Amino acid sequence: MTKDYILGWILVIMVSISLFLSSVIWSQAPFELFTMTKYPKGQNIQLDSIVGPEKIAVYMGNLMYLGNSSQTLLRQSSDFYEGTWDISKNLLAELWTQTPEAVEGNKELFIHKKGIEGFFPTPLPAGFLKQLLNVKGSDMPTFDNKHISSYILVEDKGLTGYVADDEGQLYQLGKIDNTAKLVDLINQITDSSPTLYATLSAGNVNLKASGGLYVSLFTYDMPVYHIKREPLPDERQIASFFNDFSVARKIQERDGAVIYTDGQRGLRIYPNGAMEYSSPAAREQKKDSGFYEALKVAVDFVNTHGGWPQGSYLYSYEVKASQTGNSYGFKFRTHTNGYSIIGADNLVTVTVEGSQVKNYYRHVIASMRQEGLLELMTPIKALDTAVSTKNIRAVDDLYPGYIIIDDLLKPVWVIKTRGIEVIIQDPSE
Amino acid sequence: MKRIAFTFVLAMVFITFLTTTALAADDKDFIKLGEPKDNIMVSTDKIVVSGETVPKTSISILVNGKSKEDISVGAAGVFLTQVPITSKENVVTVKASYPSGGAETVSRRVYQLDSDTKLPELESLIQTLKTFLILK
Repeated sequence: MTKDYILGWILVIMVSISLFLSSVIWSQAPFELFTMTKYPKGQNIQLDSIVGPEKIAVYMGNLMYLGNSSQTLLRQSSDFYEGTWDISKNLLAELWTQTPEAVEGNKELFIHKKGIEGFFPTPLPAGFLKQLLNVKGSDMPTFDNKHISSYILVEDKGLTGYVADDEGQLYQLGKIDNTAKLVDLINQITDSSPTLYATLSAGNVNLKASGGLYVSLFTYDMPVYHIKREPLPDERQIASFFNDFSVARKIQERDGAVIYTDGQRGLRIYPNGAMEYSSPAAREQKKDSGFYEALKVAVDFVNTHGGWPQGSYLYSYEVKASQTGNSYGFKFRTHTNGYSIIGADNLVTVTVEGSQVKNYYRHVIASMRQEGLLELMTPIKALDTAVSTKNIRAVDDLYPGYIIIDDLLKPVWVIKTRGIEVIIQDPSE
Repeated sequence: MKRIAFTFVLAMVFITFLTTTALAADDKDFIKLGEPKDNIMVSTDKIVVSGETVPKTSISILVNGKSKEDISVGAAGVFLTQVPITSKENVVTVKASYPSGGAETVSRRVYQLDSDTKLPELESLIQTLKTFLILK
């Protein structure tokens, strides 16, 4: 056995140990790469996944009676979210057999019973909701114009359904005897020992929180992510915006943006990866496609022009009457871990007119990797900060969200006041 | 002319008086306990204590006379915490020490049921509670 032979074996062993230790370290590191996956092109995007509730409050009744805190919240990241939304859709369709009747009542009466309440990210037209749920009968055009902000399914000597409009008015849908589906679901959720939420309301001179805020009694440890933007679109993607790409001209702007135009349509690609497409307005009078069809056109267009970013949802919309029919402006946001990414740094907007896309803006994240965890301040401290630093006196809602700072996706508190979202950051940061 | 001027001055004095009174009322010390409700029955070993008061108030929470938690209230004037309960019958006392130097105490009675006790419906729960209070 020569000296070189022994040294050779020592070298092999040392390299093996080094590789083993490296693999152990990497396997234990908290870095995880998430790709903001897109649905395959051509795959039908279900509208109910785009307009589903941003949160579902589950009232566990007397099983875990803790004052007003016998409730939990399901977000899109919850294992129970999808099943709860599916059951909700079926039960709402089953209950919505008659014209909803306006009822006097306070939602607080329900929270001591077993029930669920789904809050839509934006109030949806009742007519659209009926179409989405495939509700048959109950034809009442005046009710179809109401904007539904939440639904309630509650076990109350049978199963009763309600919807609430954007002014807080409750409407009773109907009643069925069979409560098994709902009760089984709530029992399953209760058995999973979910995080309890308290309802915080205030009506004093310092702060008004009329709607009741859901706050967890535990700490909010949320991941921080390093993000990567979508790369600039390739020629094939750019060509998909034009009927005949061979006639399109390319114009280089001084700010680094690139514009493609065929004389009618225009596509601007910003240096940061954002893109904006516009198409001329229709000259002839076109039949109004309606909210449902317009949303479908918008979603399909996004799907075929860049791909539908998973986790995107309808955040808000605007319907404008124009000479060529109604114009529908949709804003889509993305959520991660069930929490929205706030602001224009991650946004898809589409304007649809007469079944055609007139404007399209897209600036989204392509992938992200977890950098660590950040403990948010308590919700009470967030309210204190809002009052002391921003002089906010009325709070409609309080929830965690994400904002993009440089290449980081950072969790923050968001306060909704008079329809505006205000970011509340820890003063010590 | 004199009469108009006199009426105007009188109106201004009246408005000033009303405004001062309203402001004084706003500054008044207060505590409003949202949770727990009085005479509630729970099947858990913790209860939520929440409410609103004057900013910078110091809150002490006692359960059956034993101190459980101290809270310093911030600018929003709201507080929220949870405290453990161990007895069948608990008196939750919230002591507020206002920045003005004044103090106020609010108490709530909370009954703890065994965790495996199946709680009745709310209506019968109220009936049970009434019977319990009558017997006491």
